[in-house]
This record gives sequence, structure tokens and C-alpha cells, in this order.
Amino acid sequence: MAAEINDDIFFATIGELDSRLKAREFSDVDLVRAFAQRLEQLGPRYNALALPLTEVAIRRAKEVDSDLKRERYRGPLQGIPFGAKDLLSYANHPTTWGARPYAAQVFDYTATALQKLDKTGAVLIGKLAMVELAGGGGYRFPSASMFGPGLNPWDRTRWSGGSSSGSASAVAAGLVPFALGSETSESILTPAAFCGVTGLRPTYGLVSRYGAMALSWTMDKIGPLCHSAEDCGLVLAVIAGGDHADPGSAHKGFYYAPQYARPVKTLRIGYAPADFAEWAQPAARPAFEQALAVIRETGAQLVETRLPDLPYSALTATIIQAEGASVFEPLIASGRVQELADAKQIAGLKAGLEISANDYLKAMRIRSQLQHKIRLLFVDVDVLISPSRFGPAPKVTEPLDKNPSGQTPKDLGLSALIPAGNLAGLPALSLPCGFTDGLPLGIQLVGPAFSEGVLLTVAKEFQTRTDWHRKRPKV
Amino acid sequence: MSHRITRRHLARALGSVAGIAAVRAQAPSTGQPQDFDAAAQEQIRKYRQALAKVDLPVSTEPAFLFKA
Repeated sequence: MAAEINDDIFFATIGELDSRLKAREFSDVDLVRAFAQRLEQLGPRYNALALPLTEVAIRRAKEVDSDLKRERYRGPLQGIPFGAKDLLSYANHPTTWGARPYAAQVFDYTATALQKLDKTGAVLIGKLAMVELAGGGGYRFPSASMFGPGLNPWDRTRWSGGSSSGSASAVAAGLVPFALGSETSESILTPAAFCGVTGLRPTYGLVSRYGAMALSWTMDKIGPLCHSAEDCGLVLAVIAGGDHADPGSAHKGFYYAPQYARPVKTLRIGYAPADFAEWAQPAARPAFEQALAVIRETGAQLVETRLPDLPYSALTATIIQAEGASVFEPLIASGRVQELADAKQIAGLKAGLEISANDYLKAMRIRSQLQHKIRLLFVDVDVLISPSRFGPAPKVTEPLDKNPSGQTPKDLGLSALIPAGNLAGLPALSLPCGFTDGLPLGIQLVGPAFSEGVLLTVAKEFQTRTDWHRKRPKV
Repeated sequence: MSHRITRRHLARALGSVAGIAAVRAQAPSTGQPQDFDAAAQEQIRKYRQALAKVDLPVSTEPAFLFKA
């Protein structure tokens, strides 16, 4: 008799699902149907669902069952249902980019990352909601999406984070075992932290952007959001790799081999005391300090460090707004930009057209310096650690440009690690590390380019010593 | 991964998108559009000023051929 598909399965890791599928405890059709129905039923509760793909998914699951019956094994993702941010094209189905002007957009090709997952037997069960145009113009409210504000499964009055809003909330609520998201700056790490899931932003160029909406050609990255670091490693191993269809491709692969990883106790991990004592919101400090204590217990050497002083916000905004305005110039020129949901986003996109070539080039030249300085920083440390966000998810009605404390500490510490890491194209992982007021908090690890294996090793060690990634919201 | 899509499939898919969009939460009242335009332009001016404060050696090239 087939095992019942219950909460233990809805919140299981990829490894657990793979073992049970291969042991024939249930068929892939049963598994995919259960997840797809759950996503259709509960996805709208969190404004997480952009497009259900139940029928297509069940047809694909039948093929997987046939393969499993013949013992044609294609890897640990075979038969695992998943969701993808609605910024990735899926041939002959709508791809809205979360924006009303593109509600009826249909491409005749599939994004490389989705093709790779399909080839290994993973089953796409739905497209997931996102902030419109990945928030490229800068948005003021979580409601900046044609799907409405992403609602947090831990508290639906709170935001799920953006721009990969649906990807994070769907994983957190056990609607998909994993999801693909994207990050230009903060769009994987922030929703991962706010929803209490593990999110991986790969090195720029490691995962093909072909078939993904372009916002910033020099900063866009595709990555997974999962229940654990190990799951992120399994997904990355499939979606990474060179692609001639992506001009930014690094033409490198990734092999997840934790058994050959460098022991964590031999690593030097850089942190900034100001992040924990000054930048973190007071109620969140105990959880962040406890996370640092867990890292210390691994035997890793903790080293004080800080980022070089540079205008990170100005750099990130100038580059993303200039590139984004160029990408969306036809939308702006047509006047349909006014159909977007967020007034600040509309104004930001339009203003981006006024950034001069001189300003853009200046930002890109400073970016060269930043990359050099960050390389020097990694001479002294192997990994950087800092809170992913300094507090929990804000209320969905709160403006996002409001500083919760109203104060800015003088010591920069690693507080600008998200923009700095994105400008330098570095990989990062956000891990659940505790709660404040019943809301999840996340801690981020950042390493040199192509150091995903090291980050995953530290993260896996952290998750063997803690169970924050195992916590489930009441759905 | 190529699937034929029928008009019925497309209508159902778009219906789903439209259905979700129809129940979307409205953005809170956020002021006049021209206020946002002026604020966005002012922000770009502030970014320009912040970038201008960074001294760059004449030999520094932009990160055009961007490889991590």
C-alpha cells in the first residue's frame, strides 16, 4: 500500500524524498499530484502562485515512473516536484515577470536552468510569483507585483521578501520541495531569510541566464531556494554549467562533493562585531550571536574584518537602474510602464534613462576597484558571515524605504555585504538561524568566486548543529 | 522540454493569472506620480554626488568584461 503523502513529506528534503521514491513508498504521480494540488490550493493564500502546471506535471511524472520502473536512474532530483520564479521562460506558457504589461507574454523556448532540471527528471509543477520586473526601478511597497504582496507563511501580515517572493514562501509552506529564484541584488537572500528557508546565490556566470528576464546583464544570477544547504548543493549541481546561449556564462560546472570538502575547523571566517552589536535590530541580536557561537564551536577561526568604504547603494542603484532602463526602454517609451503596480518603481525606471554614460562608466570603474579590494579581503579570510537582514520581515503595509531604527551605525562592518557581494559577483548562502517574535531570521555566508563548495560545507555543518531549517510554519 | 499549447490551455493559464491578479491587494496610497518622478531624479543626483567622491586612478578600467 502506498504511503500517505502527509506533512512529513511536504516538508521533506530532496534526499529524503529521493530515498522514498526509489524505495517505491509512493509513485511519482502520487507525489507530484499531491504537491501540485497543495500548491494550487494554498499558493494563493500567500500570493505565491503565478501559474499552476498540474496537468503537464502529472504527464511528466508518469514518464518518471516509467523510468524508475526500468531502473533508469538520473540522479537525486529525478521525480522531485519544484517551482520556478515567473521570470524564467517555459515554452508556450505565460511568463509574466510579475508585471501587468507582460501578463499575456508567451515564449517559444525554455530557460536553460529549467531544461537542465527537466533532463534530470525534476518535475516543474508551477510558476511562482515575484515582484514586478524583479524590482529593477526600486519599489516602495511589497504590493509591487501583479500577484499582490508576497505574504509570509509565518505570519501573513508580513512580507515574504522580494523579488523571489513566491519561490521562498512556497518552499517555506511546503508547497514545493525546492524552487528557483533569481538575484540581481538581494532577491534570493532576502526572501530566504524572511521565510526561514535556505537560499543560494551562485557566482555570476555559474548558472545560465538564458531564458531569464534580463534586468542587469552584469549582475543577474539564478539560484535555488530549498529546505537545507545540502538540497541547494544538489540543485546547483544540476543547473550549473557553461552555456553558449548566455554571454555571461563562466563556462564552469559545479560538482557537489561534500565528502571531499575542506574541514570547517581549518577555515578562517570573517565577521564584523558591529553587524551583531549595532546593525542588528535589538530583538534579533541574541539569535545572530547564537549563530556566531555555533560557527565558533565548529573550530573555525573567527577573524574580525570589514568591507572597504565605498558608496555601495549608489553603485548598485546606478548600474541596475541604467541597465534596467535600457532593457525596458520600449516599455517606458510605450507608456505601458504606467501599468506597473508601484509608483516608485515606475518613476525609478523612467529616471534610469537619464543616468548619463559618464555616471554608468564611473560606477563600473569603481566596481573594478571594489572587485580588487574584495579579492584582497579574501587573502585573510575564506568566508564572510553576517546577518542576511538585520531584522525579520516587515509588515506588508510598511514602506520598504523606512529605516526601522531611524539610525545608521558609524562602523560599516559587513553591513553592505549584499550589494558588495552582488557587485563582485560572489556566491552567498542564507541560512535560517533563529526567530524573533515568531518570525525567522537568516545569516549569510559569502565566499570568493566559485567557492560554493566551501559555503555549502560550512552551511551543512551549521545545519547539523541546529534545527532552524527544520522548523515549519502552521499552514 | 517542448509542449504544444492549445487555445484551451492558454485560456486556462491566462485565466489563472488574471484570477489571481483580480484579487491582488491594492498598493497603499502613495502620493502623486510627479512627486515620485522628482524624488527618483533627486536620488540619481545624490548617487552621482556619492560616486564623484571616489578617487580613481586614471588606469582604472570599467568592469565591462565582467567575470567573477
